[in-house]
Amino acid sequence: MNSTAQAFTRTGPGWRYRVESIPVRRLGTFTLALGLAAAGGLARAVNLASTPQRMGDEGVLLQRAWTVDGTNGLGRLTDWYDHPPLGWLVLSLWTWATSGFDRAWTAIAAGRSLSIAAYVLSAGLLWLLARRLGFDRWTAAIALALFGLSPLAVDLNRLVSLDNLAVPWLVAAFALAANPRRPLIAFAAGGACLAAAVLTNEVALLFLPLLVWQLRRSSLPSTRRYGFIVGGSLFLAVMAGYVVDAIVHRSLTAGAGHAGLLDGIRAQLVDRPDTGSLLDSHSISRQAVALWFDLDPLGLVVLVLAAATALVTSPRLRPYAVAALVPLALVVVPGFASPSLIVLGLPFGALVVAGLVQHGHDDGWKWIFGEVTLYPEVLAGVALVVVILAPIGLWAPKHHRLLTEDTDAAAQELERWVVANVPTAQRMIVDDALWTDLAVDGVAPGHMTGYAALDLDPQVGVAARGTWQDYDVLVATDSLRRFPARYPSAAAALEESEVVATFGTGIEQIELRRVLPGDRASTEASATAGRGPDAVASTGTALARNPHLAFSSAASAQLVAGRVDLRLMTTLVAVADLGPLDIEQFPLDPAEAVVNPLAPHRVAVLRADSDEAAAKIANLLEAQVSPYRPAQVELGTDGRLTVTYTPAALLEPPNP
Amino acid sequence: MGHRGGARWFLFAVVAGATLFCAPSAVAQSEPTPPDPTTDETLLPPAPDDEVQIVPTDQRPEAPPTTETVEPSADQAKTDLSGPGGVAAVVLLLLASVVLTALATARLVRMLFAWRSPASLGAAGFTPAGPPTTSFSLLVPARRSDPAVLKATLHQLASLDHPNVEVVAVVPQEDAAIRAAVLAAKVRHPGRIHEAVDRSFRRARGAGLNAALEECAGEVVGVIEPGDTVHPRLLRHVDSCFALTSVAAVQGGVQLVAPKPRWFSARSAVERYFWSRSRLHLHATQHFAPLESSTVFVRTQTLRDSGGWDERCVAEGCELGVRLSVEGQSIVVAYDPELATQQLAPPTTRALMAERIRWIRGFVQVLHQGVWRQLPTRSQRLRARLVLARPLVEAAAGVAILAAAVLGAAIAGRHPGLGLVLLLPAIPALMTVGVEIEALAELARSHDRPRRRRDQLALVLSTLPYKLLVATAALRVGLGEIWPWERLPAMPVTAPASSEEERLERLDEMNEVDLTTSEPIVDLPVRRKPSAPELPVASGER
Repeated sequence: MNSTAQAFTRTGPGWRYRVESIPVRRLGTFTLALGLAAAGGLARAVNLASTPQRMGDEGVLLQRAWTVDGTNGLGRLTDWYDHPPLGWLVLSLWTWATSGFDRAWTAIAAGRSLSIAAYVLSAGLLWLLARRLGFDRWTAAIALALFGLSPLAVDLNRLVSLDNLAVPWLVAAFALAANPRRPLIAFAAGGACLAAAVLTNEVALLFLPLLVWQLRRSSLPSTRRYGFIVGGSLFLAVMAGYVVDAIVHRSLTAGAGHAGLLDGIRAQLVDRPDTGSLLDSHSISRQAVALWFDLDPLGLVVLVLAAATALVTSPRLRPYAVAALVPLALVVVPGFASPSLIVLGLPFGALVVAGLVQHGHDDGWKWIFGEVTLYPEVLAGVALVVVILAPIGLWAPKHHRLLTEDTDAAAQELERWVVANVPTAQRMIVDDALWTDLAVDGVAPGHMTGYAALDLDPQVGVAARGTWQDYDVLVATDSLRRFPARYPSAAAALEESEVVATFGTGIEQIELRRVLPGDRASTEASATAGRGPDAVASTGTALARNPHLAFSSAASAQLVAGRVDLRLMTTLVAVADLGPLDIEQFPLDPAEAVVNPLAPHRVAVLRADSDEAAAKIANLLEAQVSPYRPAQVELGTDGRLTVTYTPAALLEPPNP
Repeated sequence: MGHRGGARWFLFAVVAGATLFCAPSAVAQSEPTPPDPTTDETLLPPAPDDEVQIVPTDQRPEAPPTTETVEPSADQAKTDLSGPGGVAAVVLLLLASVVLTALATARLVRMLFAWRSPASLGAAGFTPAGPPTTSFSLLVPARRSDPAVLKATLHQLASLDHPNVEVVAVVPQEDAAIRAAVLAAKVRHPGRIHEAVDRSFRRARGAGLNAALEECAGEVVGVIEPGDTVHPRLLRHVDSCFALTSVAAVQGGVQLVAPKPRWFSARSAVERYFWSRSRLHLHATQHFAPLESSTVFVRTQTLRDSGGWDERCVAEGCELGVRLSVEGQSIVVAYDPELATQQLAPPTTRALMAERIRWIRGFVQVLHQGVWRQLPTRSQRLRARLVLARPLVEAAAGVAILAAAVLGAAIAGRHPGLGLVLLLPAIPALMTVGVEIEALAELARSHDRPRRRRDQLALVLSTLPYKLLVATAALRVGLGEIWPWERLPAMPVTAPASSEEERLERLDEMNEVDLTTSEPIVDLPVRRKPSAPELPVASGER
């Protein structure tokens, strides 16, 4: 036929026709896909902030998303041009749109909520892709169920990672490329989506040949060339936009105040960190594989077997089999191994497994069983055991752990403690995973640095933060204690520091440490400087006899024993002038008590006559200067107030 | 008066756009480089060393100085754009960039319309040839053609593979050489070639075609230009298109061929290819098809009923297509690489300029004529307005995109965001060049010619001069519209005559004008000569 211009009449269909033409069957399909995606989303959303344990890489992403704001443009990188920026730009858009940092109980939860959204999107697109590849509804549902419920996917999909954020773009590119009508727009949109994936995570570039493969398979010669020109040039245009952006911002090479793109690319290609070999039980690659096997051994084995089978038997599934295997194979490539990288291949793995089931169904399972007569009942029984019971038996414990375990309590405890106890002027080396939460809580971003940033800065020619000796406090998490070699500067600070407070136990344990480089004198007892324990005890005894102050018996005993902080005692003397005051107790900070049961008690719970009197006391206290200014004064009911002093160990060091 | 507003508006838009691009670049040039805000200031605070003691409430100490260095934001560095004028310029530039991006993208989409899916590409072809069902009268407007070329064309048309064809050569009364060539062809194909004498002395081809239309015997009238090479089987396919009684007109494909390649040959061939292969199909599906001047076939009765060709329009095909579209007639646009008519490309840059002016001017004339205003719905009228104004807009946009890219590259160092946005329209423009290269290769393939690097290079390199040439053509048309005393003579265009009397009356009126103004019969632009009644130039311009 040919393009025909014909006079047409404008008569719309009536409402009855419209109602009758609602595609009930398609709505059912839609509900099924949505339900499966929602089930997977629920499995990820419940307890998302507490398991798995927060990681430094998540923190780095959140830190960048948090830094993106109006004044900073696209968040120009000052420390390290390591990854393309789309991931944290989207993350910052998400946290802005959802007010995530203010609303979620931790910044990690705010960031992980985007990963859940990315999963739901990927799941919807996976359904589309499966259907476009000719899957029946039930096999598409298998793909979605595998992708949605495998503990491996559930665990890793919760993380805030560039891998997770790249997955929807990747699946979208393939779903668009598999359009059965083969329109030109599929090429264009596929190319743009892949470019977005690459701008989110550069590893997605490995999927470019696979997308070309799929596009070649799904296109016809008559329009193929135009398609590749349009899609390819759009892909290149988006990628070039990134480079041009770096050029116009003069950050192609590193300079004052900014990192360089070329340095970043060189580092990505040449100087990747050593991730060790699979044979070394302490290497990152070995640990990644161990983590995968721990989470879902069955899924991993099935994925590899299915992908290998599909490579041999099914031309339709071949690009996806490769797509599933590529991230797995990367684990043996030195420098690329990362536990989270496998998520790029998981949707395709699920697709390949379901695709083989589809193939088996289409040809009556002949390729497995030959001409043997199959009894449907037997087959159904076997299928029930294999397909349903085995995963449940293996997956249920993992899911139970993922849904209930809390590995984040110590981190949240630490945040509260830092806000209440650490003076604002103190400079901290913190785990990147804690950085954003502390920044949201009000700690000045300029006063904090991550472990890695300390070492990376000199590499990229930016000296903005100074060396570790310039910092006062080190927050040491398990990742620093376990891999000191990765963070030389932070490890040096770890060596030359002493514990002030401890939170949590085991691998969740976080230590707050006082950095004491060799040239800086210990300030352990700056508040008691020049005065020995006896002097403190005698001061306490004298204070206990002060007629304006009424001490409870426990408080009195602690005073006499010399266990109360000298600053607190001095303050009480000053406060005594304002009117009668009950001192109810001098509680000992539990986090400090773990480290040193004999630490001076620096918290006092007071009770004045009235709320007005309490407010007056609070005003006086807050008007003081260091060291007599309390870290925190909390007003309670009935004239109660809690005065908290900074731990003596964290006081400003005397000027060297 | 309302008719004239359109062209003026476009011209002002072009001029305003050009000023817009020049003004901020001058500002940007004069701007001093902002000092580097980064200093070696450390982030570390001075350690407090004062002796501390309890102080009364009223002696509240100063708040500790913030130790964070606040870097001056990028906005503060752009001092020259911070005033109200600067802000307005930025907003206008951003707006212009967005509009240009949209225009360039829309152009790319129109160019690729035929290839939007394999199915649509298949649907754009001719219906298979069937047994002959109708008869053809092929009109060859011979005025100003080369007699040798005309003879070859007539011979070729007379030998087409269809039993019921008459070839009608529309010859100017006064040109003996052409009449001799037609006579020779008549002798060679007795009974198949006829001669229709055009006594109008008019430059526009519509008059001659109308004169011939009265003598046509075929059920379908086709127009073929002298020099065109028509595929022998084309009429069989067109015939089967007309088998559907509702079809009123069929537009076949046209390709440009250049026996002697010039710098613009590859580019104009590609432009024509996209028009014929893709863009015209889009217009047909939108029920608004400006037809071409060659390889167009219309039912004789339909054509007579709607008043024949417009005798004052320089693009009579376009005008006819618009009129038929407005009447609700069904127009088929079909393209088959094999069946496409091969037309000679303009041989010189001058001829190219004349051709471009005629093309743009024809559309503008039809826009002014206003037949499209009779379209039933508002959206159809809007679309018609856009389609007819498009040659002018595209000509302006081509240069504006270039200017935006140059300006963007120039200021990107100082105003990165603005510079990047200004570079945005270049993306679809560059994609268009990529697509054009492939189209050139496809054209070569369809003729079984090897793909030559030289042609591709010429295609890419000619982009800029060609755009400038088209923009010049558009500017000249625009100037001619605004200031009629400019080189282009005013051509009052009115709706087609409603009756035969009116038509003849107008014809006489026009003839009078033509004879007194004594314009040489050439394509636009026309230069007035002080000599008295003209005797038309015979042949040679082409």
